[in-house]
Order: sequence, then structure tokens, then C-alpha cells
Amino acid sequence: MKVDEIIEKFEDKDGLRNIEKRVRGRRVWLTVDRENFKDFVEEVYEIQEDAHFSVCAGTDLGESVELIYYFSLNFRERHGEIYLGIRVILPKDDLKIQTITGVVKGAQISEREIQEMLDVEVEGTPDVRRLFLDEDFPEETYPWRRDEKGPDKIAKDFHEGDENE
Amino acid sequence: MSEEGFEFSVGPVHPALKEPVRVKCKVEGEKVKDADFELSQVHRGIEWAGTKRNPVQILYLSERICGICNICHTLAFSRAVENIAGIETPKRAEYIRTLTAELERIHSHILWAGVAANELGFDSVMQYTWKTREKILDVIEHMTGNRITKAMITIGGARRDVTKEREEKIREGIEYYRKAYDKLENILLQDKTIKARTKEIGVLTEKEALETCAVGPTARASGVGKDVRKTEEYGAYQDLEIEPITPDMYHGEVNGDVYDRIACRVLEIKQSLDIIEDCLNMMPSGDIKYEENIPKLLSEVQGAEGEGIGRHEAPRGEVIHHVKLVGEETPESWRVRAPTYNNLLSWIPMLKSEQIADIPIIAASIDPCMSCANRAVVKDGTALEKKRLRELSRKKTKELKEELGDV
Repeated sequence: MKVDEIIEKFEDKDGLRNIEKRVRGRRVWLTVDRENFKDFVEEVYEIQEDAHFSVCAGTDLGESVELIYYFSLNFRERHGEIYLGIRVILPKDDLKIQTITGVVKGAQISEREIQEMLDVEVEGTPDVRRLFLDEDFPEETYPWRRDEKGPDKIAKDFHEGDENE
Repeated sequence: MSEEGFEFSVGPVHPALKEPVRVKCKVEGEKVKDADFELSQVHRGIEWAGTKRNPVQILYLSERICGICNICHTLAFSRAVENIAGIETPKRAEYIRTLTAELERIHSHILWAGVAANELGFDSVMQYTWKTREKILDVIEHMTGNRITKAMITIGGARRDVTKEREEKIREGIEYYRKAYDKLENILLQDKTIKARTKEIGVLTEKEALETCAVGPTARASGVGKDVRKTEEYGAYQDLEIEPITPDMYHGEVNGDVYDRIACRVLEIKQSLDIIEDCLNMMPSGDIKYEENIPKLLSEVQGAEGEGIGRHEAPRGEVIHHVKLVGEETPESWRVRAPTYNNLLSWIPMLKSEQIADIPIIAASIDPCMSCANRAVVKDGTALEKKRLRELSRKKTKELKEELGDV
């Protein structure tokens, strides 16, 4: 399956905001509405039943939080793998997204991660426990955030005492 | 003990696990009924620190994510940045990158074989494999200047060329491993004890491997032929017919057990030797860097905007770096996805219904790397505070002085 054929499958779907493709490396990014996000993920698995979920990359954009879920398609084909990113922008005052663990079980790790790193509530996720952060890591501090909830204060304290050297 | 059995923890610091992770098993008698894991022991804040640095500085930081497979992180990061900035890496540099990455794979797989033997209580094999590994470290040192931290990759190229002298040393290394390979294969795949301890143990079916999104030898041992070296055009791999190694290539069947994971890695050592030899034979001439001048390179990269994904098949599986550049000094986002991150969930189906005594070898069979999986954060309080660390260090030195006399 070619990049354009993949794009065709998504073109008419509700909630699609933007398509970006890069021929080099066969990368595609779809920006979608949060309400329709899960439909897009389900479509990925309609296209290829055993598509591979790689990771969710999250970034604090200031007023909002961006999540990009990366999937790999055609991973058995020589020089034919397509790397697809589904991007969702969440407003800071409503950081919620639906779980996709019903579609792909392996998304559990990424969902636990965005919960503890960005304070995004993943609705319906089977596991809300911390994974990468220690249990005594301060509550209400989220390492990937760049606002007052971010880790800058902790990092500053890390170097205290240097002045006495 | 309740009627449902009890909970048994291995780790986070445990003689049977070389990585700081806690594997929690619900057991009934000797049998594991359910499993779970806890990370969070070595979170260092590397991605956070990266977003405060420029792409050339991040290169050095990414090299320090993992001690064993550091080429894979610098390579994936460089590829992500090159993808955004539209930088074309010279062909010779692509070959040098591939060659170094494969040297790293041999070193990592032999190291792992030693760890696995140790988990089985077979220390003579551990000593033998690690002795064998020394040669590859010598070759790496000769090629890169360092045994472990190689610093071979730069954005748009490689930092050191393969000179005539270095080529000879690499060929000598290949010769050594071609001779050692049969013995290595015989010990690791034919030994009765190893077979008894690893066959039909820690099974991960193909369906489970796909569901848990496993990567690398962990997935391939279950029959999922996924290998970035085959599916993406990069490095010298694009000119070579790389086939993902699956255990049926060795014994005609795929069982997805610990034995199959050993078989995959052993066969991959041989595959890497072939790739290195092909790289040397086919090495094109020409430049090894897209741009020699670092400030010039940096200004070109910092002027670029967009999202980039850099991928590489590391010894443990696929490494992905997601980078977002916005035309400023530092990237807006840098996300590292190491293979262990994806392989962790596969522990659960592997451990279920197995014996307590097999937990260490099953846990080790995915070749876990916690420094890769955890990456990131600075903790407040006392544990990691610099001042406190210094106090403890001085206290210990004082105690040692008192004990040993002021030497």
C-alpha cells in the first residue's frame, strides 16, 4: 500500500483537520478533532489488522497540549513501511482524551505516561497508576509541562548549594 | 499466606536482575499466576534537559541515554533532524554509520548472552562469552577511540573515517568472530542445560507480541518479522537485502520461548558480521560529513521547521526519536522511544504460569534496558540533591580514611 492510498482512506472522515505528508521516509501526519480521534485509530486497524503502535509523543504548546500517536503500517514490506502520526490538540483547561487500549492493548504504557507527564486524563484507560515516576515524586508536578505545573522549580533546587563552593 | 497465594517481588535491586526494575508476581506455590512491573528507579530528565539545548548539544546528551547501545540514539536523533532540515548524508558516511551500528549489535548481543547465562546460573558460559566480547570492544576502540561511548555520529554524517589501518583491524575482528561463532552457537543453542532451562519457557505467541506492540528480537522470536533495516531506506541497509531473523531460520519452527529469543540474537551476530563485511567491500569513496563547520551546520538546522521521526533498529529493537523544530535555538519537542519501552508489556504473558525460578531468565530474555526506558526527571527532597550527595560522599571518604589509615 502506498502513502496516497493510505491518505485516501482518511480523506473523507469526519473530524480531519489537516494532512501533512513527507515522501522521504513515507511519513504522514493527520491532525484530527478529539471527538473523532478514536475513529481514526480504529480506521488504522481496519486498514491493517496488526498495525504496530509505536508511541505517543506529547508536547506542551503553551495554551494547549499536543499529542501525536504514531503507528507503523506495512512493516513486513521491504522499503514500504509507512509511518503515520495522528495528532490531537487538547486545550489546557480540558485535558482529556479517550483510551485506545480497546483497539491496541500495547498503548497502555503510553497512556500511563501521558497521564503522569502531562496531566492528561485518559478516559477509560485500565491503569491510572504512575509508571515512570517514583511514588514520592511531588504531586501536581508534571515533567513534560512547561507552565507552573512543570519541573523547573525542582531542577533549580537540584543545583542549590553550588554557591558555597 | 491468603487463599489466593502471595505476592513475590524481584527487584528493584536484586542479584538476579541487573536492571533497576521491580517485577511483581502473584504466585501460588512456585507457580506465577499474574505479573506486573514497576519502573521509576532511574528517571533522569534527559528529554527535559534536551529541550533546553541546541541540536548539536542534544547529540551528546542522546549518546548518554544508554551505555550499551549509544549509536542507536545518536543515529535516530540525527536522522530525525536530517529529515526535518532535508540534509543529505554522504553515502560513505551512511556506510560508516551502518558499520558502527553493527559492531554495536555484536557487542550488545554477546553481552546479553553472558547476562542470560548468568541468570541461568551458568557462570562458565558467562565468563566465556564476555571474554569473547573483549575483541569487539577492541575493534570499537580502534575505530572510534572509545570502548563504549563511540561519538561516531554527527548530524549529516560520521565523525571518523574508516582508514586502511582501521579496516584491517575490523577485518581481523570479523575473522576472529567467524572462528568463534560456531563454538558460541554450540554453547548457547546446543547445550543440554540451556535447552532444558529455556525451551517452552516464557512463551510469547505471535498474537501476544502484536497485541503488546513488542519490537526487536523479542517480536521476531515470536514470528513477527519486523525490522527497520528492511523496511526503511537508510544507511547501507538500503543497498543490502536484510531479512529479519526469525527462529525458524535456525530450527525450522517458531515457538516464541526464551530459547527462540537466544537463537534470534545468536543468528543476528552472524548477520551483523556479514553486514560489516559487505560495508567494507562496498564502501564508496567521498566525504563523510554533510558540513564540516559545526556553527554553519547548527545555523542550518536551527533555521529548519517541522516534525521529524528518526528510526533505527537497535540491538534490542526499534529506537524512535521524535523531534519538533520551530526555527529557534532549541527544539520544541524531543521524544525518545527506546525498545524496552515497548517490550515491557510482553513480560506479563511470558511470566504467567511459569515457575518462580524462571523469573530472572524470562525477565532478562527481552534484554531489558531500564536507562533507555526510563530516560527522564530530577527529583526533589534529599535523594538526588547534589548537596546531599556531596555530604554522603565526603562522609564515606572520611569513614574509609579512618578504617584504612590516611594513605
